[in-house]
Amino acid sequence: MTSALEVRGITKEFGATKAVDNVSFSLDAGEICGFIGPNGAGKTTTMRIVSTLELPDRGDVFVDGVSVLGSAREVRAKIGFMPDAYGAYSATTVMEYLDFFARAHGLRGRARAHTIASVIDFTALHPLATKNIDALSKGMKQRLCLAKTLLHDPKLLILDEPAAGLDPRARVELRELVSALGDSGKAVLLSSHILTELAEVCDSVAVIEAGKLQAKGRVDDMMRETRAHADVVCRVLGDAEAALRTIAEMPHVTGARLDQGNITFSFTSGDQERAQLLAELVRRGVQPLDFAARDTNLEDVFLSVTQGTLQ
Amino acid sequence: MTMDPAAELGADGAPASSPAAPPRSGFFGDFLNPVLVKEIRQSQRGKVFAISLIVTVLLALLACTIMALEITDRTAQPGRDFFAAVYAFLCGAVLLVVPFQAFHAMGSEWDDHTFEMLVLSNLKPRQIVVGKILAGFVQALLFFAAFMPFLAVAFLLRGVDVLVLAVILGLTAFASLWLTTVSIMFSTLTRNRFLRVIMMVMLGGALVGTIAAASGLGNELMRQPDQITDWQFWLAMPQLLAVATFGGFLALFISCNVLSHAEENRSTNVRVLISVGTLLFLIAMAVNATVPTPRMPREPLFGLTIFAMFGLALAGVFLCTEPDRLGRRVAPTVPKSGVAALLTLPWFPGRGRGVLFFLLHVAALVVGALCLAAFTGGRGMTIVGSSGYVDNDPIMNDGGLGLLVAAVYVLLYTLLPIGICSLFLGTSDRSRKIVRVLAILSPAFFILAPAVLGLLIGSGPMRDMWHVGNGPLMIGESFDGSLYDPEAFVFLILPLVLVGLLLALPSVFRALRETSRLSSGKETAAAAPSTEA
Ligand SMILES: Nc1ncnc2c1ncn2[C@@H]1O[C@H](COP(=O)(O)OP(=O)(O)OP(=O)(O)O)[C@@H](O)[C@H]1O
Ligand SMILES: [Mg+2]
Repeated sequence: MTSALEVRGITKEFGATKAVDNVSFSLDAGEICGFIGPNGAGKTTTMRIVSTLELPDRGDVFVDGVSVLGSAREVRAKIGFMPDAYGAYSATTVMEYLDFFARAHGLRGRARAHTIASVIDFTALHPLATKNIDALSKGMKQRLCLAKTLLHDPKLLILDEPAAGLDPRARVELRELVSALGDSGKAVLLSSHILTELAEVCDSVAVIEAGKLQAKGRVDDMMRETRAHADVVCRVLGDAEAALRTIAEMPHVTGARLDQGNITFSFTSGDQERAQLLAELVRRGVQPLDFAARDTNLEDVFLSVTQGTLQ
Repeated sequence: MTMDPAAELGADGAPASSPAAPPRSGFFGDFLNPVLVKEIRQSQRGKVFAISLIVTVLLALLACTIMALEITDRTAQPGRDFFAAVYAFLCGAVLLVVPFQAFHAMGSEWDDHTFEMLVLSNLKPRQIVVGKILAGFVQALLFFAAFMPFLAVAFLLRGVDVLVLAVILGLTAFASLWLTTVSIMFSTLTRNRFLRVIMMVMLGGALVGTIAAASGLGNELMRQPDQITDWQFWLAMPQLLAVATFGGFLALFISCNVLSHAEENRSTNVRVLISVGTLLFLIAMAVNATVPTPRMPREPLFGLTIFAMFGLALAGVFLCTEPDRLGRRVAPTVPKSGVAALLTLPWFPGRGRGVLFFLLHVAALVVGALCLAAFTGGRGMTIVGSSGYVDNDPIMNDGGLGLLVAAVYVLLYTLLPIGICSLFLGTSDRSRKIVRVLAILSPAFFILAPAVLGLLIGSGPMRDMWHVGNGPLMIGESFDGSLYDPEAFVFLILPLVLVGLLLALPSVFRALRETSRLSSGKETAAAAPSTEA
């Protein structure tokens, strides 16, 4: 089976800037992939190349097996791209806006009415159908843009910073919409800065920095990998200096330091080894009060991956 | 607002339909151009169109009232004055407001970031451009409708010929459509706001000039209705309209090509149009040289051909600076038969193929015009003694030499600068733009640089631009069969043209190789293992 999206070694330069540098990854049908990276990492550029709006200098992208270079029109029929800065027509109502794009996609007569009705239902835009677009709030516009993107029932959705500028409730609603789309078998590639949001909705993440893809994998795998290199904070009874010396001698421990009475160190091995470490410390007379690895979240994954400290 | 998206998805995963939403096909048919529908809806809702309609109609009403008060018994044909006033406002509306609005409508797609959504929605560039043009035309028609009562009053006041009125209105509608198309082309050319503002000012100036010209022409026709019954009018008018139509299609094709995906064919339509235009030009010349009495003499035939050739040179600058390679969507369209591939080669995109196309069409114009001069019995304008035209004056003395010299300069001004600049500037998108600008400006360089040199070395004629770099001068001088400074022409200009041709040669070879590779694509693919082994 062909993947819903396959990015093959794309490179894009803007003058001296390598916005995207030999990036390859792929997405299966129904997979929701978070695309994360610092500002200027090349997320938008990659997404624009996938959406046929920009041509790669090298490499190619296949959407459902169709090349963006060779058959841009076919690809456009298969993708729905929601850009970060999207325009809205002035003097147009929500209904007219959707009607226009449905016509543009070649939907006719009853099929058009039916499709518009269903995307309006899906995005709960019903109460706003006759409102002028200029009068919509940012969150409502975002929803309208999503509705527009869904009109032609694309197999792959590319959402660039869909959560930017939304209030918490709107974000929750967006997340629900996205996971519903994933459940319906659509592949979704979405970029965001709000990493905690992504963890809940995404199956996988791709991390990009300075144009290079740093990591791509399932969210839980990446968390586990990151946890294998956890920051541990330990508080002891008695002489902290002596305990610090003991801990620093142990295997897998790096960067142990004393910090306001807490001993902090990086532990570069798994849970098993960490349990052994604790037992060994106790055996050597260290009296731990607290011994906690900070919970890893996507932010840690992101930070460790983008700092290049992950092996 | 609470919702459960999952519940609203059908079992097959597609969003389920709900009968609650109002189905709205509305008053616009299904097969109308979507952009046209959108533009009309927007202008219905927006204020600009309504306000401009009301304002022009009110102004026309005001003008008419003043005119009505001034009508005296002395005014023999008050309808004509009345028409003049109304027509000026109509021109203002359909020749200024409508094209300007179209320019703005296209430009706002860039400014509002909506253009990419149009592209993503899989609208073809042609649909987008034609939709905008038609929307402009619908507006123009609404203006016409609004002005109908005034025109009817003008007619009732006598002095207005119905046929003339119909011809004037028809031509005005054509002009409006044409200007709309050209305005849209200009606004597709750049996404840079600043450049677009400059363009807007220039366009505004040009449109105001057009209004003045159009209302002047309209009144001229109205005052001398006999012109319309003159056969010369009916010979000249179709030719002018054909030229304008050609320009309109060129503008349309250019807009579409600018909006197309970079891997698509963005050149063949323009090339075919230019070929058709060249053919039509030669046919029109043939008609003018045979049908009317007196027949068109040789000098204007050659003069017009030289004009056409410089127009071709302008197009040539663009065709000869395209990227070398065929786009990925174009390559598969090369005919598989070797002969067909070779015959259609000049009409495919690419720099080398552009050079071939350009040379082919320059040659067609030169040969065509010379043949027409030789075989249609056209004569020179030189009148000798009392016997009238000289029958057997050689063609070269009636402008033939001028035509040949013009062909040389057309090649000099295009191929040489393009060849030299491409050597130094490379082939990126940006450098191709620079090469184009430099090539278009190069005639000025050829004319001015020797003049500056003349100033430095104290050569009077060179300083006064009497030198072989000055194409227009050389063409004019050689029109009667004698060349100015033939040594310099032969030993400087011709070798330079040769250099230009040589510089273009590698890309021509690359084009030939690419085409032959593609046309025999299947064979090589099948034969590849054996040849490699
Ligand atoms: N049209 C362009 N012209 C020149 N440089 C560009 C262009 N588009 C992007 N870049 C550059 O390419 C790099 C990647 O930009 P991109 O917009 O893809 O980053 P991003 O990951 O989307 O960032 P952000 O999180 O801020 O949206 C940046 O250095 C940017 O300056
Ligand atoms: Mg971005």
